[in-house]
Amino acid sequence: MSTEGEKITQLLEEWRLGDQSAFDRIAPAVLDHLREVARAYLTRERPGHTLQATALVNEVFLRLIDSQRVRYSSRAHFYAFAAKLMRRILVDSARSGAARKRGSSLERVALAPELAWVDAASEEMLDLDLALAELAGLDPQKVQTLEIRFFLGATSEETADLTGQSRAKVDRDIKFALSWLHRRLRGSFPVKT
Amino acid sequence: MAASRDQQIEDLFHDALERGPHVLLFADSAIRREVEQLLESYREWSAALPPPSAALPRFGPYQCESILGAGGMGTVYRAHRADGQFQQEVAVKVLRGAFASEGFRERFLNEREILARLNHPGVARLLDGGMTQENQPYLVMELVAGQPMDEYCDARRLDLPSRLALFDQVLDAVDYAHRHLVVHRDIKPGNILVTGGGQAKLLDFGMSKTAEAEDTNTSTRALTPRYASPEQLRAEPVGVASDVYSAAILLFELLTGAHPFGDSSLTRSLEIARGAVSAQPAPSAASEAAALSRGVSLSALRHSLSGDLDVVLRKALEHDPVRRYPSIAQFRADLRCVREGRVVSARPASAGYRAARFVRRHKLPVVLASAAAVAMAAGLIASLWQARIAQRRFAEVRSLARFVVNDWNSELQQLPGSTALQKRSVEKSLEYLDRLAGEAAGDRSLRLELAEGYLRLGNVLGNPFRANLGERGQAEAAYSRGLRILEGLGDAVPVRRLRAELHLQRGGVRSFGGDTESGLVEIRSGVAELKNLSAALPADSSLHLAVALSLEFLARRSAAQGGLIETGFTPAAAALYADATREASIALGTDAARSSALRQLAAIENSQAIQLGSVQPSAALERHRQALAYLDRLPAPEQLNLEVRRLRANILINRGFALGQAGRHAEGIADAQRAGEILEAWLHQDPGNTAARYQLTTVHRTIGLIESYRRRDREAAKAFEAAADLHGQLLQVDPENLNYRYLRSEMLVRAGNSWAAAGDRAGARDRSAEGLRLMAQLAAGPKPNLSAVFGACRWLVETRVAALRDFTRAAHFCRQAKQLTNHSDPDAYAGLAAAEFGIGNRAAAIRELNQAIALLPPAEPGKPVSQQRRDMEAGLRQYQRIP
Repeated sequence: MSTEGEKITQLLEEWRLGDQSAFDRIAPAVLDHLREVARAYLTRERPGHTLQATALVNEVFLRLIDSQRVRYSSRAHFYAFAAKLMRRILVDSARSGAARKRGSSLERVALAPELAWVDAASEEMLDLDLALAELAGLDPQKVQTLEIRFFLGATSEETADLTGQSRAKVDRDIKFALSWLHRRLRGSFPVKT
Repeated sequence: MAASRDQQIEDLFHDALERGPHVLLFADSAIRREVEQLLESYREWSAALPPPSAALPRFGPYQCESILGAGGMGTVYRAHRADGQFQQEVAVKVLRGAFASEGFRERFLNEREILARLNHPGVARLLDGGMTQENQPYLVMELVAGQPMDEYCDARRLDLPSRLALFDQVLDAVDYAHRHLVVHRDIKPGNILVTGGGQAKLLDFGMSKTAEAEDTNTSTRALTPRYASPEQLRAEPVGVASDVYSAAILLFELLTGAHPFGDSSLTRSLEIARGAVSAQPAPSAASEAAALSRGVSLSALRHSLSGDLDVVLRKALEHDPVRRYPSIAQFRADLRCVREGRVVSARPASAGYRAARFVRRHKLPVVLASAAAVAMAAGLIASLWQARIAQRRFAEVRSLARFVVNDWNSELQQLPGSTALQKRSVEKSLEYLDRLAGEAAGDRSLRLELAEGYLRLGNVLGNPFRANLGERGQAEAAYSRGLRILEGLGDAVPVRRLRAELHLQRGGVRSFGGDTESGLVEIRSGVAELKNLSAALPADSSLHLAVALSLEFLARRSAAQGGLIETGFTPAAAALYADATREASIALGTDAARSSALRQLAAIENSQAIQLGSVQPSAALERHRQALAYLDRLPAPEQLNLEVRRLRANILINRGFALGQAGRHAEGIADAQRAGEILEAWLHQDPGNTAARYQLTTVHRTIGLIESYRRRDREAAKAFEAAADLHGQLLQVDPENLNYRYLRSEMLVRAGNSWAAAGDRAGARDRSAEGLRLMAQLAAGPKPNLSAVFGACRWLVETRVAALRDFTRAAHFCRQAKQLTNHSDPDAYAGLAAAEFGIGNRAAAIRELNQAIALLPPAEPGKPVSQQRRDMEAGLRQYQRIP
């Protein structure tokens, strides 16, 4: 009987039902585990590799579930949560003093080949975060799809499976959402206000 | 408004990516600019992606460089060892994803085991093997740099002795494999590569099977008909004699450049395998060109192929494996004797045996197309009659006609585009059988065959549940004729079974045509007959399947109550379905009937899902999932089968509908569109097929419904019109079909309503007026069609063209609908409620609608509420609000 485990379960349920503040209350409990993952990611020593975010997140969370007997009502719910948390960690890290400035010429860190135009270890991550928030105002589902696909490093098939959508739908949504974000952040045309 | 603008941008974005930027031409200029910017962004980020060519896989330490070939089993890559250990070029064979069914995978692993045991210069070596992370097995084999055997021989213009010498190498390797208890089972030129150094190497033991593990379950075989032995084609256990046969075909081709039996089509091979015709190898088939490429004159070539070589080949090519050489070693020994001019062990067939041959070989017509089999039957009858060799010939002709009617027609059914051909072949064969029946009145088994012929003819002519020609009246007549022939034939099992089948089909045709009651009575009697039979013969799995099929059919036809509009999932129907599932599951346990059982279980789930679709969408979705899961369990080759594709399309349409009902609009439309693609492809191959065309109408109908749910009215209207057009085409073939007529009227009314919602007044008025006129005509007829009664009840209220609305007439039809459905159908009550409300009887409206809601199945907790319930509850609130 772990009261902390029950608490996390409870908070996750509240978050799932739409209470955004619940997310902030659970995050500290699992953040330390994930920070480790993120650090490995951001201080990657060898260039030219993409991080196996899924594998690491899986490991951390599975350990968490085991140790604290957290009941997650569904696998998909759990991964959506993990993806959002991963996003949060990357943003926090970008906000810290250690982050590089935008457009740094140092070795750039890409979340995925499709997102090579964002250096995830720099302040560019903050811009991406804002743009994602803006997109979520229009279409929250697409943002969740993106989070699972890129912050969790899931494949299209896995994303489709976790979000209960068809593979084709995931691919289309990702294509559109990435183009939308790129236009918002990098478009070489006047952005409408 | 804002939401629809965003949606428009997104749709245009995808359209432009898929179809090209021209789709932007007519877009609003502000929207167009945004889409263009998005496209520019897309080009920028996607240009940075690594090229797809880098995607060639790596298996363990082996990095693939190029694709050598892709076959039925999987893909073969050229690869090299990439771990720096040593430099080695290899071939990697990996099972293709979509074919990774259990059966295939088993065979693949089988191949690895077998090859690991073989070590012979004439067999490609297995070097390594393993599993990928996705559990895909792969084999690493010696990379053979060589040419397929036939090409090798022709490119070098090898003479006969050189060809025989090379062939001897192949036999040496096959013999070696046989001595290690391995039968290759797929010997053909493409599986034998000859290296530059002249060494023949046998590849691809994917088909092979250890002779010690004899297994008769061959339903998933992938074979090469041109080289397959008759026993292989008959799906019988295959031994070393099968390799003797295939090797002999290969040798015959290497020597003459032609197939020993002239024609190597599947149809022809199957005829031989079934013993329907007899064929002897004809060395005279050798052509001038073949002689030239063997460096001899044609007459010299023909001469060298006669005599002992001819005798040896004939013995190796005997259709009966028992008469063949019992081993490759003996075949090889005799070929050596031929080469060395010694006496061979094989003896020419006796003169008596030759005289008894069915048809002498030089007179045997060369069958080029499958259709010609019919012509052949005709020719035989004529010549044999003249010869007046009555009894024996009679039996042979009959067996041929029976073959065309039964076996051959089943093959044809699997071919797209063959509906008309099927009809012709069955009609022709029946003509012969009829004529024979006149000669042999009182022959009971012949009458049975005739009746079976009529069953098949009926199915081809107008069975609405299969691919058919839409001639319903003629179909009914054919079934009736079959039943008459069976009269007085007693109660033997085949007679009873056939009678049941004829009743089921005739009942189905009648009920589909609108004559519900007598149709259902007839179906029930067919079900009862099959059940009795199955109870008497419980071990016969085909009977269990037949019972399951008939029960599902009965459940579906009772629910449809004469039309196509399903009236809900009654407890009685649920019991029938449970019964059907139980019967089909019994057959699932037997190897012989497993595939059919899977199809049938999928069909049963699908049928239930249809009934559930509008009332309990989430329950329906579960059924669809189950149905598709059954289909996915079928072996890969059967996935491509026509009926399976049709069933899959059907399931997708229904699931699309259920998804739409559950508010998952885009997914629903995607499903319907996938189904549409399958059907369009089918119709493209077979334009006369009314079953496919009918199914396509339901695709458009479904899309129209979902589009209207999400208020894309213009799209909805177009979809309904497309459906109405297709119904119109169907009516040209089958003008009496009440269902087509009703459905056309409904599609027109719906199109009218959608045009009205989209603001097109003229379109709305024209379609609605035409649709309502046709509908009322059907509903008011002497034998009112239930669908039409329901339709008139609903649409006279719900038409959006005010001038056409008629509440009083609607109420009349709704009351009729209540009666016809035994006061159990919520839609009839809801329809009457709406009509009463329109008339101004608010209290009556509320009462009727409450009763309607009470008749709905209870909402499932935690699952989305059905569209039907949502609509009714909204209606109730509306009635109660207005004072």
